Amino acid sequence: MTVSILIVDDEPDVAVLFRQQFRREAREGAYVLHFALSASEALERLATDIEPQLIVILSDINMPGMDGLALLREIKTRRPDLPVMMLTAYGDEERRRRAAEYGAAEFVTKPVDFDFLKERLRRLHAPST
Amino acid sequence: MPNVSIRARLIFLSVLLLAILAISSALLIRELARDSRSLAEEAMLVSVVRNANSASKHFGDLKYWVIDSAVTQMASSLQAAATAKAGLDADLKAISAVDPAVVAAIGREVDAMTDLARQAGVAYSGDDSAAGNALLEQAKSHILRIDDEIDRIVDRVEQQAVARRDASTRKAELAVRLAIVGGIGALVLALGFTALTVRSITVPLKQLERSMASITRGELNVAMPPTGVNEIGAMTRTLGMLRDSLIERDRLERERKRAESEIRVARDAAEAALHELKAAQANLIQAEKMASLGQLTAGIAHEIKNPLNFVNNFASLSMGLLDELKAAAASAFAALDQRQRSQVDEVTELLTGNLERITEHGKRADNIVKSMLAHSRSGGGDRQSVDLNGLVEEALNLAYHGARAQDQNFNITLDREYGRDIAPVELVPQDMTRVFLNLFGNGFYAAGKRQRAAHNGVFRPVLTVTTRDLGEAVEVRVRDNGVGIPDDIKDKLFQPFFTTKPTGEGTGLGLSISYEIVTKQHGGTIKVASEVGEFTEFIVSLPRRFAARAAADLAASRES
Repeated sequence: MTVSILIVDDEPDVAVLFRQQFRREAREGAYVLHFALSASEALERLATDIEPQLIVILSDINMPGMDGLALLREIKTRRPDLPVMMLTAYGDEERRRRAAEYGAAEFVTKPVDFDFLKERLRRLHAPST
Repeated sequence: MPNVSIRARLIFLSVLLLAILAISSALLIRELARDSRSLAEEAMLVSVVRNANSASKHFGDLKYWVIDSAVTQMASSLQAAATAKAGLDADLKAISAVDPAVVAAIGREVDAMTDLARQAGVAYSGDDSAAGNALLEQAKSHILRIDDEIDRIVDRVEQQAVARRDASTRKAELAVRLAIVGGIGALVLALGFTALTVRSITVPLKQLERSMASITRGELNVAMPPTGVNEIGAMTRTLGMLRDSLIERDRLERERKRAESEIRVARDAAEAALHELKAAQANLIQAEKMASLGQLTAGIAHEIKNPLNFVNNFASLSMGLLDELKAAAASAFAALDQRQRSQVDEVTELLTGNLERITEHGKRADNIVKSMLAHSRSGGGDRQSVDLNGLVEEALNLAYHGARAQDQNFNITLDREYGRDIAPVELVPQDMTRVFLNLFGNGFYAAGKRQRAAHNGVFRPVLTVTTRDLGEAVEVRVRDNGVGIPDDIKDKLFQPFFTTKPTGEGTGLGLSISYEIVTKQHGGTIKVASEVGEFTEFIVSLPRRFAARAAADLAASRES
């Protein structure tokens, strides 16, 4: 089964980075990567084209407009079963606490350790495969 | 007495002395007069005695010549008898005053005797001897009686004279004694009055003099002598006025000094307030500067962090891609000739090296960014009640072993002056540990720098750590005997990126982060004292009561 990942970040280069990092997995067909540059775009895409294969959302917290934590709450009200991992440059206790409170599956600080991230992703969807 | 003027007193004394002199003189004159009268009486008595004796002698002559003339009937004898009779009559007349009756009787006896003698003479001349003898016998009996009478009167007169002389002598002696006693009495009286008068003047004068001397010495609360209406009273009153004016002057002087000191106190207070205000303003400016610098630092860090993450990520990714390229193109590379392959190998090696360098420096930059981000942390980390000495000791050991690990030759004497019985303090342990690590590290660095500069090896680096319980606060002093800090950079110490270390050795963020942790997070103070070439001492003071306030501030900052 192919796992869809929606990555939400206002930095366009994040897409380039993730595509390169997940090049092998994408080639093998393990993951399909989707990108959104804002929370609203993420919600829109969630509502339309990437349903129902999606199982993981990776979201930055600090974004213009709706921020990552607000997005997390919104997603959790619509799809409580959907695992969400938070990625952030600010690894402070406060954000970590609130992310956990809103139901984030994982809290990953930037710079992203991709080996660690991949391992976490594997663990996340392992039961469903 | 005090109400009598001195002039009146002196006049009174003079009058009194003159009176005493006059009285004593009058007494003496009276006594002398009395003496002279008795002398005159005595002289008169002496002449009476002489007359009495003369009367006795004249009677002797008379009786001789009367009898002789009766017998002889000679004219010369009659003449002599008449002369004697005239002398006797004169003498009797002179003494008749003594006893007129007796003198008169004597006169009559003398007349009878002379008459009888004359009759006898007549008888004799008639040759009637018998009748003459009988008449002479009768005359002789008169003579005997007259002799008796005259002897008696002479005796009486002599006795009277002796008695009178004795009385005069006694009276004279009495007068002398009286004069002596009176004189002494007058002298004593005069001396007494003089002494009293002098005393009545000198005693108040003496008192006045003492008062004047005291006032001259400045003892103004001296008792003034009682004031009368006399000259001394006037002087006393004048002195009193002088004293009062001096007291008033002193009072005004004191008033002036008090006013001056009040003004001085007020001025000092105002100056102190101004000074405090300036210090507070300086502190505020410093705090504001530090806060804005901290925000700026954190802001820069935020902005740099994301691009830096890309740099790091793409660098490590590129290394992987390069490996992939080598693996994928291995067969193609193998087909190349020696020169081409070595060229490819060189380029791939260079690329790998560059990427490694990018990664390395990226990590370095990332560490700096992380330190910078520490400025923006809004009190993250939990407050715990910890033993201050334990925390300091742990940090000290960490710092020491860290320094030893970096430099095998590093050595320093650690002097621990931990206060006893310091009650646990509420603080964020990991952040305060970071502060102490920073301060210890700086101390080691400064002491080591001085040791390297000393060359001779005599210098012994020492780091002294002192903890103290100040009651409402705790204090930690970190003192090194290193190179010291020049005055002109002291106020830059806590600014972010200010460092005296060579590039790459320090970020200049240690003290700025420590400052934020101590002042913002813990509400404490961090101060520095230093002398170039002698020592540097950082004094960290943390209040005990800040915990509650800091928590409230933290909650408030979360809400906004």
